[in-house]
Amino acid sequence: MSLLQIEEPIKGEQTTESEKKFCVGIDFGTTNCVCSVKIDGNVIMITDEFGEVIIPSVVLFRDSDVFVGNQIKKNIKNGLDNRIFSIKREFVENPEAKKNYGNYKQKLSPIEVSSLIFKYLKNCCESFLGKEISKCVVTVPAYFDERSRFAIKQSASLVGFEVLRLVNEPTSAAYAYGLERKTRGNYFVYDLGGGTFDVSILKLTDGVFKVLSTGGDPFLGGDDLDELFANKIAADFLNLRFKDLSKNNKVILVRKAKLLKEKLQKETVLKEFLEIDKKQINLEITEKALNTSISEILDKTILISTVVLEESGLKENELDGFILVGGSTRLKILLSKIQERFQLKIFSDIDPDLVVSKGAALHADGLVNGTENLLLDVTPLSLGIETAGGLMEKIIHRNTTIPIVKEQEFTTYEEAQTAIKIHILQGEREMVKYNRTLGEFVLDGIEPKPPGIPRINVRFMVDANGLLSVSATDKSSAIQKELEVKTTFNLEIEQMRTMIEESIKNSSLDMQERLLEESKIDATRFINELQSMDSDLKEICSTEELNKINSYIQLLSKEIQKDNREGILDFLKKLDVATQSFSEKRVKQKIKSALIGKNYDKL
Amino acid sequence: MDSFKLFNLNYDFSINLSKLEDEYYALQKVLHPDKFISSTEKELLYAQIHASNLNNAYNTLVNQVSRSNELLKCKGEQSKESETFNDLEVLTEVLDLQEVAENINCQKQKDNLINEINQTIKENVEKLNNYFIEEQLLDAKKLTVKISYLEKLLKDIKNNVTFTN
Repeated sequence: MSLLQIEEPIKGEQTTESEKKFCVGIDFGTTNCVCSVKIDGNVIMITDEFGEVIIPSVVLFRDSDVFVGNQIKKNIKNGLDNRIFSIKREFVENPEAKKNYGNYKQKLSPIEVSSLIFKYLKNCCESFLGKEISKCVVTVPAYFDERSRFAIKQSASLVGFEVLRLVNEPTSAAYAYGLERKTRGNYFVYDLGGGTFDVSILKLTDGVFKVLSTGGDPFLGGDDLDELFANKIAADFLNLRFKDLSKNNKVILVRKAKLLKEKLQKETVLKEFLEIDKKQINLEITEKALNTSISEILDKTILISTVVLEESGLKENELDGFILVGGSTRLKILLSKIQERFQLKIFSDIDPDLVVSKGAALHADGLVNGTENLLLDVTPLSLGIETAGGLMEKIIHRNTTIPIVKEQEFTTYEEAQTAIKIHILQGEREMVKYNRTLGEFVLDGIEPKPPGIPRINVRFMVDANGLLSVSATDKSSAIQKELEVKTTFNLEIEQMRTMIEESIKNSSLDMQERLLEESKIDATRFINELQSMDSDLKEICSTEELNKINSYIQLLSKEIQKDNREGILDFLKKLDVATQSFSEKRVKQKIKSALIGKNYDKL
Repeated sequence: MDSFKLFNLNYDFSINLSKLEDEYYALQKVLHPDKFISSTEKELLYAQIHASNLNNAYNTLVNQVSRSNELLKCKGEQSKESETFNDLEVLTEVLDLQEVAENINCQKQKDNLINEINQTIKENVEKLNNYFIEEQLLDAKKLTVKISYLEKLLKDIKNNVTFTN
C-alpha cells in the first residue's frame, strides 16, 4: 500500500538503558506544577531544592531577583502582596498583552511570566537528574483554545525547552491509568484542577487512546471553590462582604478557606482561629456550610459531564469507569454527586495531583524511546473562517480527531474582486461576532473575474498538538499565502466561557440572523450580476422587459436596506422570472461564440 | 486515493466496522507524527498529512451516509453541486416527520419519534445495501439523500426539541 511507504521510525535504533534519552513530563497547572520522568521502567517524581514534588505556580519579584514556587514560602516573609498567582488563566484572555505585575518595574506578558516558571522547572529537573534536560511534553487543559496552546508552547520554548508534544490533561491522566493496568474499554475522565475544569471520554483499545469527545470550562476550578467558601466565611464570621476586604486579607482568607476545606473532608465540625488585621476571630464551621457554598459549581460540572457523554455517542452502560483527576476531586461532596449521577466504577488510586504529570512522563518516554501506545486527541472547538455577511463557516468541527487537514473552496462576491480577507475563527456560533478571532490575512493578486468564478482554496491543518496553520491558494493563478495562527486577537473573556452553551441556547436566534444574511447576500449578488451585464441587457431585452427588470432591482434594493427577508425573497423571485428569457438568450449567444473559438479558454 | 483503497477494502457498502477500527489503529500506530518525533520537520509534516488522510478516510467510512457517497463517487456516480434534489415523495415524507416533531409535547412522544425515525433509517440502510449489491446506483443515490435528511432531522429533534410542561 502506497500509504505505508514511509520508513518505520525507531527501528534499528536499539537503545540500551544507559543510552536512553530523557524527556520530562510537565503538568503546568494554574495553581501547581509537577514534573516527572520515566527511568528504568518507572515514573520518578522530580523534586525541587526543598524536596517538594508539588511546585506552586507562583512568581515573586524582589529587587533584581525572581523567586518561584516553594522558594517564596521558604525564603520570603514580607511583601507577599506582590505574588503573581494563576498566570495560566491569563492565557485565555490574551497571552501577549503586557501589563504590570506586582512591583516589577517593567511590563510583562503572561507568556514572559510563565517562561520564568518554566525556567525554574528546567533548573529543578536538571539538578534532580544531574544532566542537561531540553526535551519535554507539556500538558494543557483539553478545553484550551488554539491561542492558549500556542502561548504555553512558546513560554516553554523561550527558556530552551523543546516541547515535543502538548497533551490534553485528561488524556494524559488516562494514559497513566491505562498503561499501568493494560486496560481496554471506555473511560470518563473528570478533571477538576485548580483553575480549569475538563472532561474527556476516551476509548482505549490495544494501547490506542482515542478521545471521543471533550468539554469543560477554562474558568472553573478549585480556586473558585476556595473563593466561594471564603465568601461564606466572610459573611458568617466577619460580617463583611469578601469583595470589600483588602487584597492581602483576601489572600489570607482564601488560604484559610482552602485549608479548612481540606480539613472538613475528615471532620464535620471545626473550631479554628483566623488572624486578620492583627485580630483573632473564632471560627466554628461545619462541613454543611462548605457544601452549601460550593454546591452550585459542582452541579455545573456534572451538567457539562452529561453533555459530553451525550456527544461521545456512548451510553452510560457502555462506560467502564470514571477517572478522577485534580486535587478538588478529593471532596466528599463531589464524589457523592458523581456517584448519584453516574453508576460507574471510580478510579482514584493514582494521586489526583500527580496523575497528569505521570501520564505526560510516560508519553514523553514513548516519544523519544519508542512505544506501542498512541494518543489520538481531538480539537475541542470548531475552526472556520468568516464568509460574506458576518457568518462563520466551520471547516473543522469540534471533537474531530487530530491531526487533520481539511480544504474548502470559496469564491469572490463582487465583480472583479482581486483580494480576499481570510478571517480565522474558533467557536460554535453561527455569527462571527460571537466566536473568537485567531488571526487574519489577506490573499491578494486574484485575477479579476466575475463574482463566483475564482476558486480560492482554503486549507486548515491542525497538528497533533492542536495547533492550527492556515493557507489559502487562488487555484487559477496559484498565488498562495500561509499563516500559522499567532497574531492579534481581541476578545472578551466571557465569550469563551459561554460559547458552546450559548450556541445551543441561541441556535434558533442565530438561524434567523443567518437566513436574513443569506437572503441579502443572494439578492446583492444578483443585482451586481445584472448591473455588470448592463450592455447585454440593453442589447437583448425589449424596452418593456428592461423597465420591468430595473424597477424590480430598485424595489429589491429597498427591501435589502429594510432588512426585510420576506420582501427580499419576494422580489428576488420576481426578478428571477423577469430575467429568465434574457438569461436563456444570453447563454445561447455565449455557446455560439464559444463554438467559434473566441475567448473559450477564459470562460 | 479513495477511502476504500486506503483501507484495502472492496467497493462494497457493507463493511465490518470493528475490523475497520482495528485496521485504523494499526495504521495510525505506524504513521502518526508521534512516531516521527526525531525525524526532520519535512518527514513530520508528511506523517501529519498521512495521519490526517487516514482520519478523514476512517470518518468517511464510519458514517453510513458519507460512506455511501464515497462509494457512489468510486463507482462514477458522483453527485454534482448544481444538481438539486426534488423527489417529491421523499421530501413529503421528511416534511411530514418534521411536522410531527414540531408538535411534540412530552418526553415520551419525543422518545417514540426518535425510535420511529431510527427504525426507518435502519430499514433504509438495509435497502441501500441491496441497491449497491444490485448496482442500482441511481436508486442508491436517491436513498442516500433521504437517509441524510432523516439523520439531520433526528439530530435536530435530539438537540432542539424542548417542551414547556
